Amino acid sequence: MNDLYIILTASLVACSCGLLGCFLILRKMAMVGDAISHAVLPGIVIAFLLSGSRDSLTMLLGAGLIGMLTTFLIEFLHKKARLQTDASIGVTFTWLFAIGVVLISLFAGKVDLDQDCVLYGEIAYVPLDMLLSPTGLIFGPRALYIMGAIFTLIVLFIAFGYKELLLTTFDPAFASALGISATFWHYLLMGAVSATTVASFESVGAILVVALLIGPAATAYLLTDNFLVMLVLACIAGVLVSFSGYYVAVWLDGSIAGAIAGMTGLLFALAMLFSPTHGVLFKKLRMTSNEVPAPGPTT
Amino acid sequence: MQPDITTTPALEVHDLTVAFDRKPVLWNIDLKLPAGKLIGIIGPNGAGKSTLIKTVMGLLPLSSGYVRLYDQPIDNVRGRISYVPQRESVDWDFPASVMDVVLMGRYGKLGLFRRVRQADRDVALDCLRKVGMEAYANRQISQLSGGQQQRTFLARALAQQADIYFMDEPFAGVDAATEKAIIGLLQAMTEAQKTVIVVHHDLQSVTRYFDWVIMLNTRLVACGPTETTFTQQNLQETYGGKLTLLSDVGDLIRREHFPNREGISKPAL
Amino acid sequence: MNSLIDFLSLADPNIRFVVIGSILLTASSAIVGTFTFLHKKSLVGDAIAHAVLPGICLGFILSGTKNPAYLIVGAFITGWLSLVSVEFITRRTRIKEDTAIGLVLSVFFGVGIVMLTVIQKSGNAAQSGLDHFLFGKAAALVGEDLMVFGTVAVVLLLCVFLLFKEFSLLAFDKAYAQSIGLPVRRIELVLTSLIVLAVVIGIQAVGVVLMAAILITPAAAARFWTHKVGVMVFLASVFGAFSGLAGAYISYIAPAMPTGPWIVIVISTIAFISFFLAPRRGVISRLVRQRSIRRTINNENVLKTLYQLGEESKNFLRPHAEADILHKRRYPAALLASVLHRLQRQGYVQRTGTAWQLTEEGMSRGQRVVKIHRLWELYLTTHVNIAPDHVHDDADTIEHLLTPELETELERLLNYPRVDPHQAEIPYKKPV
Repeated sequence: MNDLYIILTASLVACSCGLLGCFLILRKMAMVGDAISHAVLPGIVIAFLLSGSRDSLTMLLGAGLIGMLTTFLIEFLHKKARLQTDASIGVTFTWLFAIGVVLISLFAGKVDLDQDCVLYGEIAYVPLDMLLSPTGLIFGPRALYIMGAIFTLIVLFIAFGYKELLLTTFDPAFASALGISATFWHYLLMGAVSATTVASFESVGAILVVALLIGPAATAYLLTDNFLVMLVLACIAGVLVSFSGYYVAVWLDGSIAGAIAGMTGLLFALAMLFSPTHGVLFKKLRMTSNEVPAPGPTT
Repeated sequence: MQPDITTTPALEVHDLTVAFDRKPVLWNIDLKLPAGKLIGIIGPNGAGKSTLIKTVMGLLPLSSGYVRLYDQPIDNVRGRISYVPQRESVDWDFPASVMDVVLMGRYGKLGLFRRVRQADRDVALDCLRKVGMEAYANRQISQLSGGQQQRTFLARALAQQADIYFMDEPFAGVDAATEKAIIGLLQAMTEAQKTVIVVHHDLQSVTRYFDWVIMLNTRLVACGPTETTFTQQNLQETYGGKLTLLSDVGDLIRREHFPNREGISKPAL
Repeated sequence: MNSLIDFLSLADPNIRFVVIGSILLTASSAIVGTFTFLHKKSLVGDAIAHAVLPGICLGFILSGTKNPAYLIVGAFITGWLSLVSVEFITRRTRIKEDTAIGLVLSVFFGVGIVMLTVIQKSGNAAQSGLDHFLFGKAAALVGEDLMVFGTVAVVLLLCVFLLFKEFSLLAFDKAYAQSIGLPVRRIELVLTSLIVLAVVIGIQAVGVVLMAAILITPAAAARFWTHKVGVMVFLASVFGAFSGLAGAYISYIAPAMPTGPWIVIVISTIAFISFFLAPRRGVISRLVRQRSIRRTINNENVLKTLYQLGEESKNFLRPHAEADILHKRRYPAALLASVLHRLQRQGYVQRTGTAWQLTEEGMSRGQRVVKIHRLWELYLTTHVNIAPDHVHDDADTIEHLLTPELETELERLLNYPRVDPHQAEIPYKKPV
């Protein structure tokens, strides 16, 4: 039963991250996702100190704000201080993450987080924190519920904002010309990434969040040319790596989060080599068979 | 300076100055365009042609002046305006089909949260037929040739069912057949009283293609009907070297961090 | 305070190792990082930093010791492997570089974490301290480490010194470097190897996760102060060394504190201070400059108004009441009073009773502004094709900006015209 709880939680994290990751990689913002996942740490610690608990709504909201602040800071350094984008990303997230780690050390007694947990989480402890009814009935792990809620929110977010998210990702200038604010959807998406990162943080840590944001989405991107299918495939890939990663970790007796990240890489490598549409091995074959001459104009 | 337009102009640009990093790339542009014409914007590289249409569409901030379309500010008439960006401005590896892209032209009409309906699909398919691409509706965009990509963009613009179209170099890198097809379509559109404004590079075809021309080189050289405006003298002035003094002053503004218009932006109308 | 003195006296050999070690690690990372930054490879540095973790663990598993030489070899191998992977993915698939970097970074790190946890549970007593690679621990440096890292740092510095002009040229204009026959590919290979080496030794100080900061942030900070690559490298190394020293000191007084994050906070603070304070590029200097421009504009506008009043009355030295000035041109009254007082201090106007009067200098400056205004209006109508009723606003700005050289050029270009498009006379000589 504990195995199942862990795998289910990991799968929910993976699906939430995978869905958002599809937008991130198509917007060429994978590293901004990486930056946010590191930068929310001080927000988490401060929210922890203020509220005294791990899973409050304020923490999610606060972290959402910190994530948007990170995005803003990166753009600010880029535009006002004229740093290259990649340098402004590097400067911003290392600075915020460093503050987070120092805060943890300063308040070591009060904050129930440690430095290693920040990096690779404690998903193995998920079944230890059960949600109980007043009568003592066990509903299942708390983290599972939180991730379930986050996943639902993300699915709703994408379902309702599908058109706008798609268009601002594909052609932001055209979107602005239609009166759809690319900036607004950009920040909304970053807010969603931050909230997901925070909710996933304690179970999987900063690095695994990055692996799950990028890996399943990148894998799906190599397997399809249809955006909806890509979203679905990213979720499937997420579930696959959660399962396989968990059992690899059990077999090796090592970190579950690390093993899931490793499996993300393996799955990507498989897709890269053997994808029927975009695989390295089949690409040559396809390129010769797929050259249809362009038809003349009909007008 | 330019012929008077008796009816409401489709586009009015008043004293428009646009600066990148403070250096003006468009200097005091002042023009009015009539409705129902096919209008070319020509000028050398770096003359600010794309900048002009992007600013008119509200995609770039303006340092001074104002823009009115059909005597309205842009935000009131977005539904009547269509934009075809440069082909290279998007990632054609994006996982979408031709149909998906053309349907994006309907998003402005749909509004938030509303989904694409069958009626929208019908419009999109009809637009694809007009550009000769109906057979490609389900083709992935990564598999299109340059000309087909441009036709797809054109179909997307048509799907907006707008009154005024801004096109950024629709003929760049397309084959001759596509160019001919596109220009035929644009001429048919202007006959239906649509206004089409096209950033154009090839001087040879200007007189054949356009009713009006805007000749631009950081400043407006001339704007008017092609036969009276597209003259040797205006061409000389448009392409015959930069105004070094103007460009030196522009550099000075950037270097000195000088405010445009003494730092006071005029209130937009 | 005593602890600072103890620390800086370097009396304790252990402290000596730590101080020299930290400075060496951070400064050499900063030097290599400057080129990483200039070559726009900041995030590649981040990827390498994460990717050395499995190499370190592998080095430990295979050798069974924490001997830095083995760990460095392992780290070097996986660091390189990560780069090769990023390049392969970007070249052979449609995945873009940022996605490839993020993927490789997290996957390598994940594998490293698995190895680390496996090692920790293996019960090998030698393993304790391996996790210092996560957040760095300068205070744990001993003499033996110093020998190894010192050697690597010397190699790094030597390479940068020898290839300085090649690295700079490549960062600036790769195509040109290729055209003059430089072995671009090989030079890039050397630079990448240097980045990997810098990462391998730098993580001793700040750890894997924050390594990117000591590569990039010193360079970013230095960039605000200079345009010269040489000066930039020097400044970056000074900033890096200072943060290393500060980190070592914090390690010394608070052993429970992680060194890496503190070093990063110090270097980031330096970067933010630079961002605000640096001359020319800094935010504050820009604000100061804008303030002074505003003042010049206000000064000149008042002088111009006084001059124009003089034109109307044909007597340029006649005194005018503030109300007359306000009638001619609208200002906030308080602003006008303060500008007039400033002009008085600068000797451009003098006070007669309640009225104000131009001095000789004030008159000639006002005249210059009026002249440029009218010349520019004429230039815009004749050369830029702008209607005469649309040129005024632009001239209002340009009249304060034009340098004497451009002013002469404008006069010559227009052939010293007599009147502007509105038939107002363009003043050249001193009217009395």
